[in-house]
Amino acid sequence: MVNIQTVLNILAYSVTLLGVVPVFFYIDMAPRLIFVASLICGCAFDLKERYHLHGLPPTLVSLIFFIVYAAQFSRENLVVPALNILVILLSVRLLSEKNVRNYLQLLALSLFALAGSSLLSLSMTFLLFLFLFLITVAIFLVFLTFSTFTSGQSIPSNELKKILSVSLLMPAASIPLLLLFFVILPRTQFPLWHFLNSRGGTVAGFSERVEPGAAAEVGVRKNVVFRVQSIKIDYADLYWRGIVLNTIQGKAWVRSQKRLVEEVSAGKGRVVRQTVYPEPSATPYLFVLNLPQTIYGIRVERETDYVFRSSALRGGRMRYDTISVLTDTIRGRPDIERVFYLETPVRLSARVISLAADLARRGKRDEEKISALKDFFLSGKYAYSTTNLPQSADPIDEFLFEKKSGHCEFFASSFAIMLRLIGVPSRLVGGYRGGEYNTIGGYYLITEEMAHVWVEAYLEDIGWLKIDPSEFAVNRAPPGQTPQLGLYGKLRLISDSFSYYWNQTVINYDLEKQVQILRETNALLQGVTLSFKPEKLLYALPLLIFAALFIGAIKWRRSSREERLVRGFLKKVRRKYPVAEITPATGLKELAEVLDDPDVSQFADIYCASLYRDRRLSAREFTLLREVVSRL
Amino acid sequence: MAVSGVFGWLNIHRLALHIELSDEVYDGTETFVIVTLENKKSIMPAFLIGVKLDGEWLKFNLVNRRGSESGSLALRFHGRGYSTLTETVIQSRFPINFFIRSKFFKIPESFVLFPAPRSCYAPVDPTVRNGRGESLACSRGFDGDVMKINNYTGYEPLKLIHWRISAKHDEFKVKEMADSRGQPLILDIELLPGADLNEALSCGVFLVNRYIRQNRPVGLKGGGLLLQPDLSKAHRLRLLTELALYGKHSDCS
Repeated sequence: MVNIQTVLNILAYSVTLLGVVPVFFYIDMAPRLIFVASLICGCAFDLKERYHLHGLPPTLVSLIFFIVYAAQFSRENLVVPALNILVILLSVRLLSEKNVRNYLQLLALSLFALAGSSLLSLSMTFLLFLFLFLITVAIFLVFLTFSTFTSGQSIPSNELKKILSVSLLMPAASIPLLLLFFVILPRTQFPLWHFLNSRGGTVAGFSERVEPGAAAEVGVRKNVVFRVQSIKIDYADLYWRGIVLNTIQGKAWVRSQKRLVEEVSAGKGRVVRQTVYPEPSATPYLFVLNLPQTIYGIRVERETDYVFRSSALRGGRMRYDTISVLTDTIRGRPDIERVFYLETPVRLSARVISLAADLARRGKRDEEKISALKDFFLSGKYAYSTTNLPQSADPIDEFLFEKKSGHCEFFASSFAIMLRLIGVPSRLVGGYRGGEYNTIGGYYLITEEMAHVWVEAYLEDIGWLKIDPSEFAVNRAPPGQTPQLGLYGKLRLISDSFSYYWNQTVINYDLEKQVQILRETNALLQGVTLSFKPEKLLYALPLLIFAALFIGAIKWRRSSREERLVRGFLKKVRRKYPVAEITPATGLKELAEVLDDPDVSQFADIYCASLYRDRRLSAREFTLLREVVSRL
Repeated sequence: MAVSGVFGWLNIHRLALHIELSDEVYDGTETFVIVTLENKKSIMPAFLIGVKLDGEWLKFNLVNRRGSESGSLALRFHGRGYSTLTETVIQSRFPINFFIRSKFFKIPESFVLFPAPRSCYAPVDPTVRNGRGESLACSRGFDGDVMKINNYTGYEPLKLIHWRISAKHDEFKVKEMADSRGQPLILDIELLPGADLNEALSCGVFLVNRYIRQNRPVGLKGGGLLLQPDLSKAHRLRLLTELALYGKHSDCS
């Protein structure tokens, strides 16, 4: 037969050691010595089943150490004082009688100590201790359940073996789950919080090819494309540059394979630093706030038209840091390949050619021509629409002269073709426009529906100038305005914040980030104790007194009126007859006989009369008894 | 937590409960019930199972795989006639005392609850002239009192030969014994004493048990039923059952 209490004690000491050993050499000498002494004394007490330390003294010791170490808390020194306190509390617990509550306290304190050790050292031995700790805790908890169920009886040794084997099975069965929760799941590409993101159509979105007229209408897709940690920026400047389409192939704009070498530089503007968290996608193009200057944190291939590519992006989730200049111009030398940028589609309608000739006549300089073209768009009352799109053999002609409505691709490609026809080099820029700013997370959320195409026109004196022809639409929202979000939109933003933090801290897993979060949490905690001064305890004193009074009042209220009365009576009797032996077991009648006091006898008679009839005291009796007590 | 939940579920999974009651269960009288818990699992033992039966708990620390454990509970049932055990619960806090898993069992078998025996006198038997005193046996037997000494006819068992008297005579003398069985008695339920039917039936139970213990065959009459007197255990149980179900036959049909 095996005594289950002995097994529990052995396991409890093992758990304690597994929690304290990893921090033992980091804590102060006093807690170390106290811990060792408590360990030895605790073992001795358990063997003899006699516990000499209980009640107030151990609580006082804990309190004193708590105050001493709490005073040492500082921004730089948070963990060690906390561990010192933990070890002291553990030591006190080791000396006390082992019951279920105390066992569980030992377990919790040891777990905190072990967790604390990971803040002091990143050694691999932590894993070993954690592993052993988990196994021991599993066995310990099973035996604790047995002990409770069997009221501490002994169990046969063959039963012990069976319990042990099942207890060991539990941590073994947890290993696949541990792997799932801590290794596999945090690295999945599957977004966990997207339940609020609606699933729209599957047509609109960023494309490496712009072909207006390919579809009768465009659906709306709210899929997240990327998030950008950034300060808030004017809506007018929110152009996320991705790709430059510089060649016309049939009816479509594509990016030429031709390597263009141009000497360019960004115009003047405000410098903005951002961190981009793209969702996994098939495109190798990196999206950066127009006009991107530098991308770091990822291996990139930069081209002279400010297009950045990275093959690393296809691999999965990552992040990159960017520096952009908020400007509409790319300054360049006048030796660009004009012929290349002036190529027009082979087939153009007569109306388009005649319009171009008409516009070209309105000015000599390129700026004047562009201005005339803008006027044409503005006066033409073109409408922005994603439905009922021009779809004929010549969609540009249809857009310009018949339907007069279309989405950004129609506006941009017709504007760019017109520019080329009037002799101004032009190209399309594909990317995203706008973004929902999430104030909770401090980032922009860019969804697929924000895909956009705009134009860059080359002017001799200026360089490449950004023009967004969609802005000429009559129904376009005035610049600087972001759409107001409804309740659903706000909820979506909140849910997206979770996704963002999940990606940032778990999926884009890196230790540096984790440690930073921990430090920030520490700093947050330290806010309370940073400026700790002993004299502040004085302020806390009334609070403590109030708390004590409050707890006392609750206890007082919990006892019945009769109990309070008897307590008061016995207190008075003790005072009146200090020599009388009054124990909790002494009955009132017995007391009356021994003391031979008429008041005591009267009290006993009235009280017992109600007690033995199993009824409460009447108001009269109660008043009478109170009078008796006050007379005593 | 998830793993402990699965283990807790596995622990009470595939358990069977068998209840065995004594042949005689009397109203309001403590009776022992044997509870057998069978673990049909082929891999895992069942740990820390509590079985709750009629508000009483029986604990099983461990039931081996493909094994069973038995224990007994002292229970009191009330009423008379057909009775069943109320819902039986199996509970376990295994493995880590955070949650209690329960499984409810319905035990379909019913048993007959006999009225509690109540001490009383037998109703006056019109076949017996003398209510008190010695009642004479009407037939010869082997285990009663010696009635007279007869000559040995060669048919009597040797153990009946009275050796001491035979020694004084020329021939063997044998003891003629009375039949020790009491006079057969038929109890009429309607004549049983008692303030009400239940009291009368309790009295009947008492008398049946007492007379049969005294080796007196007892029969039963009442409600269109007539059971001839007998002494066997099966007969006694039949009488007790009839008393328990008296006036209740329609309930269980």
